Amino acid sequence: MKELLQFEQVSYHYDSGGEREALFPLSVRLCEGEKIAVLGSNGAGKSTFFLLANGVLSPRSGTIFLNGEPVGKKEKQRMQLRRSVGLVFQDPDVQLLAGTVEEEISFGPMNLGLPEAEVRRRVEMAIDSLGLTEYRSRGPQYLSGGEKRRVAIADVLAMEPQIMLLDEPSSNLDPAGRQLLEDTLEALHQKGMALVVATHDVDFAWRWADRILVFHSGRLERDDKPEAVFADEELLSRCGLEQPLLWKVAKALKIPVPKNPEELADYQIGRKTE
Amino acid sequence: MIAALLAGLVFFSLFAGQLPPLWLAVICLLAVLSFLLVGGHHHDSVLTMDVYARRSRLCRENAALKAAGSLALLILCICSSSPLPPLCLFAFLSVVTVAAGGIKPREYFSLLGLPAVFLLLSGLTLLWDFYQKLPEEAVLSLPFFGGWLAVVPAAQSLGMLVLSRALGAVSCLYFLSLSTPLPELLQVLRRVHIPAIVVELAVLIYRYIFILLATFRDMKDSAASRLGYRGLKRSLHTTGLVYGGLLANSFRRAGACFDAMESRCYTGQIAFLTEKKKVTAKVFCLLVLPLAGMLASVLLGF
Repeated sequence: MKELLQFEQVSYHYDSGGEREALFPLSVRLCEGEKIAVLGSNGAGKSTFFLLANGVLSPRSGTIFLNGEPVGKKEKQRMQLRRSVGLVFQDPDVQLLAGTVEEEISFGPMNLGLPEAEVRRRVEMAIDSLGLTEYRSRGPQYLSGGEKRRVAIADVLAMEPQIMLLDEPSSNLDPAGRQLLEDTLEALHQKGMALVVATHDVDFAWRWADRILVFHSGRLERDDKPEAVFADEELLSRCGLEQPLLWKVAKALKIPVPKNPEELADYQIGRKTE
Repeated sequence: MIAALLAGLVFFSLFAGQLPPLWLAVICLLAVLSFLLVGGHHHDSVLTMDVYARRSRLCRENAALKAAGSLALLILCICSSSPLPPLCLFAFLSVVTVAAGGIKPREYFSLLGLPAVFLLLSGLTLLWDFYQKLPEEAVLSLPFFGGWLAVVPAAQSLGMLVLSRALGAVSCLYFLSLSTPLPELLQVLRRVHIPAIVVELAVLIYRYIFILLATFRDMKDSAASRLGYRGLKRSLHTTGLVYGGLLANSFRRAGACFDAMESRCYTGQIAFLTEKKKVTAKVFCLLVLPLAGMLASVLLGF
């Protein structure tokens, strides 16, 4: 797998002490086509990690590498980072800006200074990918929570990043909206985009991710496969996390942990027929 | 209710001495009734207009043309030297906005209620004046602190002219704002080379009105649910707290929004891809007709 983004002993702290959390020296690599879940309680450093990876913040110490090249502190180099690493904010309202969905999605590509035909192509692509055709001339501020979230993802998708970071995308979504979001993530994965999702939903992380980063008080506590992370009960309780429901069920039934409810059903049927 | 009484009073002062008493009574009653019927409007003015504009059938027309047309009509309307042309313009544009645009008449008149109160108040001050000695030609008069408050025919004709001009002007602006969503208007401003900073500020203000209003509503509701508005003293205190909180919230929001813009490669220039709307014969005719009429009336001095 090709390596896209690498953090080498990157740290950050806020001058004001502020409400956002600091980040202690962090080293991590993100590769092409990965599905990574970022877990951690509130204030664990997930959002700071995202803002650094996206180039909105620049590290106090350490280096970020993009496609093997170190990213400097100059505005132009950080711009390169923003171009390749897209960030979908937790609250879509801070992101939405324009009068119609179509204009809104065009904001990022226009900032990239692309020719109009290319901007148009990208906007169409993003609208298509997220099924927003019927909303294209509506005002984003009048949409529902789930629809706003899709527009926010389309915003970033239209910039055609190599990696997409999503900050708690399933918060405030109803079950149908959450299902739609998971379908969207799957479609993006099929396109070969690397996805990093910050979430509190351990069930989702277990079901979806093929790698999990656990943050706690500004430190990366664990970077491992989901099986290893959720088996470590000491780590989970220290970081304020819990095992997914399927783990608890499997433990109670004393069976191997299934990946989804269907697998659990298969296993139960298998056991009965024995 | 107050607006309705005000309307009755203004119409009475406007036509007193010029119409037979029966007609005068009928007109005043009509004014009061019409205000009572469309009264009780409850809307968040700015937002309601934007919603109506997006719903309007004229929304699909070229924004620059609509803006230029309404501006020209507005200027001609103010130049008009007699009350009749502006009143005709008002009638015409109201019909266009309601019939061609598809705004419900009730909604339209309910929106008119807002500027109407201002118009009526200023009409009242134009009509009634204070005199030391009662003027001979006064049609209405009241003794007032050793002098007289009176309406004279000259004031009546001036009031009539100012009110009709204002009404025509309001209808021009309503035609524009009820058929053109604000972002499109801002785009027009950008095209006529209004400084970018002004337009961008307007874009941001437009966007954040929604966020601020939503935050304000949430905070107010949550304060009300904890009985924060019980009694005058507590209401004032709570209102202060809500506004203070709103300020703190706005600052936090502004920071987050700026981060979000930067993360999408914002470099100091807000640009969107805009859909080009063609000039159609329909809106062209709708605008040329009143323009020709107004121009003729101003030139011929009606």
